[in-house]
Amino acid sequence: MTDYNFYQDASDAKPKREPLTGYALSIAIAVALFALTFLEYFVATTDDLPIFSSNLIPLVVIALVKAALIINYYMHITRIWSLNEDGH
Amino acid sequence: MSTSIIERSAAQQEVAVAHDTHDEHHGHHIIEFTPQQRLAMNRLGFWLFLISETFLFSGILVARIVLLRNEDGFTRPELDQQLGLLITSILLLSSFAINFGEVAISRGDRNIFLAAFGAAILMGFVFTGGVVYEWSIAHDSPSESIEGGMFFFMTGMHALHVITGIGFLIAVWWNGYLGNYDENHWGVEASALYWHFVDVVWVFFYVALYLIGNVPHHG
Repeated sequence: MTDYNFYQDASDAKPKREPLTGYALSIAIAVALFALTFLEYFVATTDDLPIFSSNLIPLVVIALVKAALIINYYMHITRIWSLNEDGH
Repeated sequence: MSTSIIERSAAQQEVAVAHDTHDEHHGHHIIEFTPQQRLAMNRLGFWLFLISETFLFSGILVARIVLLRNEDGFTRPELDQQLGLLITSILLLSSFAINFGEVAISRGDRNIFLAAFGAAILMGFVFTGGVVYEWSIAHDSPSESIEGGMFFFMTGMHALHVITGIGFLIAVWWNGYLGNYDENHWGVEASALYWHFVDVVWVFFYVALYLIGNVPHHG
């Protein structure tokens, strides 16, 4: 009887995308941070925003996203509760 | 593979028991930790320090929200928007350089580490210079209006941390130049954590000072 491993074949069929690490991740996060900063500037200097009556909420949300990116990817907060993780 | 806190606690206890030797001469218990456990404790301690700093800066942000408002909503100091965007971009770029350098030292690329940290130190000086220039052209002095007072207080407190961070980075750069970092580079990691924290603070201060609210017209 042939030992057929369905899951193994299924995973072979679709090549896995490797997660960004090291220098590539560092550059990707920097690009995202710059894009968000210029978006902030655009939101703050635009008088009539299409959705929000005030620019307060979008500005705070963008700032929170930027802080989360730095804390997670640059400060590696997950290292606190993982003993062996190097992150690079 | 990562180890959870519970697993780590158990592992620490085992090692602690294994190394918990009794010093017969002095009557002391000596508990030895592995380098990995020491690193974990260093990280936790440094994050606790950063959390205590977060309370300080959160209090300042709350003061800004409470004090800088009138009947029309939030107010803000009259500042140079282009300069604000420029110094914010420089600080973000320095954070990127620090992370790049941290990756480099973890891979043993000492030259890239020195270049990246050197660039970050320079950008730290440029950022500080930009803030000082903003002080020199500020429309409100601290004694003239609450907007001026909050502006100088917030940027002053932040600049103090930036200058401390620059000193920290210079010390780490010099240690790296001397070749004192190998697979154990906690000093690099700690300085990077501090610098990124200063950057996170500015993410919120930039929005609070430059972007939210309207410039009030004082009669």
